[in-house]
Amino acid sequence: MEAYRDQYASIFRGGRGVTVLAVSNDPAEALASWAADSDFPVLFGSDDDNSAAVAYGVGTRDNGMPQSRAVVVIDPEGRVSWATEQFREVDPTAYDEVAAAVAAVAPPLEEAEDDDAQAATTDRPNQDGNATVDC
Amino acid sequence: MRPSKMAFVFALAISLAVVVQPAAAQADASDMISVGEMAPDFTVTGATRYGILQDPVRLSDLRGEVVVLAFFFRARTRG
Repeated sequence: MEAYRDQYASIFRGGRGVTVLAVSNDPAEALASWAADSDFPVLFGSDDDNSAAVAYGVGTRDNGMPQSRAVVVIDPEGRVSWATEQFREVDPTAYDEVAAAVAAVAPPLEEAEDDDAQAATTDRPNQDGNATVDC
Repeated sequence: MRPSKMAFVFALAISLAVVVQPAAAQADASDMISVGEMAPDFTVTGATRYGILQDPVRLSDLRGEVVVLAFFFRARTRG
């Protein structure tokens, strides 16, 4: 998770139009305290019944932990656009692959021209009212 | 079917189940979601560095954004 934090601005655009959802079957309390101690900007999900892990075919081990360190990129329409079953978290090049996958489907941040300011404001993703993007 | 034969079939079924189980667990890992599929919806309890979220996080509520779903093993580990 440290690398996600340190590259949050560059790879995940500081959360603008991108939500990083880190999922384990830890209790929510454990995730929140870890996030606070390490100042992680990402959103954590407590998958305590392993339903997310099972739905994505990540599987669970006898102790309930996911079988793999899988990363899935989901495009704005809700379709899987990139997936890896064993993310090499300690390998810096692995993050280049995720960055490319995010950039490929992320909506443009800035409007091309200012002459259509009205369109620019209405097209901007609404994040302020979304409690899950408070990073 | 005679009781003894039935018992044998039953025992065979159990031993097969025990043998087959590890292979099934392996298959789970390779049955991972594929590119192009719709992402299955799910609901988890959300947590951030500011605390536990009151409302559950539902994947479909994040429609319109890119979602990077990162499964990991355990809090406070490098995994």
